[in-house]
Amino acid sequence: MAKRRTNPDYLNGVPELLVLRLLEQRPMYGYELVQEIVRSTGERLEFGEGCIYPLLHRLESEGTLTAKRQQVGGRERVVYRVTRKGKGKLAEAAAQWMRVAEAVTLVLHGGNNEQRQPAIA
Amino acid sequence: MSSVNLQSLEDLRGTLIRRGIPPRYVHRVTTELREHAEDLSENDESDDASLGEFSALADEITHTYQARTFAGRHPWFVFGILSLPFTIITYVAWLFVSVVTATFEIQPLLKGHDFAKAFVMIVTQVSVTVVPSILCTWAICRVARRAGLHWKRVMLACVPVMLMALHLVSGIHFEPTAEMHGSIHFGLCLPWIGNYVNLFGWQQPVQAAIPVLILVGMMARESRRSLELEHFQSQCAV
Repeated sequence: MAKRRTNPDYLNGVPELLVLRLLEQRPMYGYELVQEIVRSTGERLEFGEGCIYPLLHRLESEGTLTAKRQQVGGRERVVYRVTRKGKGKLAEAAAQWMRVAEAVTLVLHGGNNEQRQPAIA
Repeated sequence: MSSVNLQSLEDLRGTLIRRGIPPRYVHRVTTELREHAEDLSENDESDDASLGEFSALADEITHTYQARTFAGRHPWFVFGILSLPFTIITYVAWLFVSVVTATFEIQPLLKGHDFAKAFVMIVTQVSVTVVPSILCTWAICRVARRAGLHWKRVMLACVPVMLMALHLVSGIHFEPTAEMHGSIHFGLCLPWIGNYVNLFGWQQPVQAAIPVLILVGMMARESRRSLELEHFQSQCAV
């Protein structure tokens, strides 16, 4: 049975952020990373192979990740690691995400109280 | 790994190649997907463990690959609009550099060597008619292939180069004097200017054939590379 895939617009940039964060914790290969995203998000988020592998390759071409084929559990797999540049990009993306998330949460919970003052009494 | 997944990967590989994704990248991504499918089969006990529909995979991979570059995100702008000014600028720049170099750098060194000067003029003429079309075609092909675009777009983008090469006329005139002065001229033979047909010689089709040959050569090289990678991949899968 084919897995249902949805990529809503508000998730733009999220796969990149999650991939960099998880690979910063420890180097992983593709399958391991896909499973780890599901596990660490409490099964709330899942990104397909068609999204993850091109993303990993793009991040590698940008210099934020390195890829090296090595032995893992008796098999050869391509293991990805974050570079120093990747750590910098992660910090920037994480800070931006926190700002956006904070702002959206504020609005969803009723907005800034000052804005609720009527213009005319 | 199940035979269904192997066939799906083969179909995926073919689809990505047909869409214009470079063979080297297709080889890399299908190799990693094959390994991913092996891990899925080994670790997932459900009968449904698979990579999913290959058409959805192909769409995602194509979209993500093409989104890497500006040319991939805006192919019509880059290859439909920018190719013409790029071609004109390349020709003008090469013409300027060649003529200035020949006139002010090389010719003064060859004072008294008339045949050498004449040779330099001939080389300048040939280089202006040939080199810009080679550079433009090569650059367009390279940018388009790195963006993961199909060869059809590349061919369309090379049309201004072929037209420019077809309509470029040039000539050298040597004065039959003791000092052997000469002049070299370049121009564009445009249909609304008189003597359109008369200005065409054997040089024009040859000039126009150069970008075609470059294009065919690059397509052949990529096709050969794709076959080598396909053979290598089938050896790994056995």
